[in-house]
Amino acid sequence: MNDRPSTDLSPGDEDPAIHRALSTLPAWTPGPGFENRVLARVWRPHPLWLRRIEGYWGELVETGQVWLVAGAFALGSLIPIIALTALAAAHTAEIGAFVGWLVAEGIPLAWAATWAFISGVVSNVNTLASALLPNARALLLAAVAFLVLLASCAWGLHRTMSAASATRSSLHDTH
Amino acid sequence: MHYTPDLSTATDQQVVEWATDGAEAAYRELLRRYQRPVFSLIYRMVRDRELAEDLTQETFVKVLNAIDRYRPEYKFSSWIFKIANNAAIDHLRRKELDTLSLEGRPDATTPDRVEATALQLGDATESPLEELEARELGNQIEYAIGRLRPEYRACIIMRHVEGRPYDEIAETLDLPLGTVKTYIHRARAELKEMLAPLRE
Repeated sequence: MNDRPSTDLSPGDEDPAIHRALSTLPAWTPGPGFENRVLARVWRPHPLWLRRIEGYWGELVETGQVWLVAGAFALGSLIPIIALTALAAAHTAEIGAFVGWLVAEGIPLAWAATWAFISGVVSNVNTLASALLPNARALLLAAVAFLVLLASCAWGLHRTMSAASATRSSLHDTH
Repeated sequence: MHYTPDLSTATDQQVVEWATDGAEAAYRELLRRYQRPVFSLIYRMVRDRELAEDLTQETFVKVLNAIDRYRPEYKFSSWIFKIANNAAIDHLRRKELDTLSLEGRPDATTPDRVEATALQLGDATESPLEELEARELGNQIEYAIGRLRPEYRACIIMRHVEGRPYDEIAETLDLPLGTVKTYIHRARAELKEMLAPLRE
């Protein structure tokens, strides 16, 4: 990257000592966190494929061709509908028999299964509640323990964050 | 979805191409490559670490936010150095700080401010005597560079500290090639004159 030249001084002004000294002057680095501070202010573009779609869409809108494309999509979406209608017209007897079975047996069967599932869940919840409610003291103790645990976690997190902030400040100060 | 190959061996143009596809790693790579030279150039121009960091940040924000407008027929380094140099020159023109002191900026009124605006020189040498000599020479050169006109200063830093070729400096500073050569020639002559007492 840094194609430092060996020498290119003209004979008239050649001074190896100054040239050497200039080329060995140190390079400085910005403070810690510089990259992140810059990137926080940089807007990164969308990926190329997304920008291509956006660009293509913008072009369509600008040139008024968007209606043409929308029409093509609408016509395209009609094709499967027409195909299904044609298929149904060719097999009316089979479709009629299937619909008849669905109404007579399929739907009541599905309903019975769903109802059995819901009843089972409600029954389990009832059983659990009735088992726990008599032990009110145990419930209270569990709630208190949970609150103590929550408070301890919050205090620990606060301590950790304070230590991290102090380290960061000291880094900046020494810099 | 980004294809991110080995960024460390990629050319600037390739990295920029990935950056224009929104890859954060490519942005970080450009920052990693150019933060030292850009910061060093601006720091040598304005002689204030805090200000140099602000101007460097502005330079990168400007460049990275306009990355999709970068034209690959130009060198990326020329583009970023041009923006960095313009930022420094604009600041110097605003503040009229053409002549600067190694011991701190002339407008530094408190000891803290003097310390903040003085250049911190490197100290990695073999022995205390060599370290002292190198420090002394480095101090004198930094001092002498600080006394050059901003145009000469930018040319000499880019040529002899950053090692940029003449044509790239001309492109960066929007100057004819002949003018760049003249500026560098005059800057060397002035440096030689200013450093003469040290070398006697």
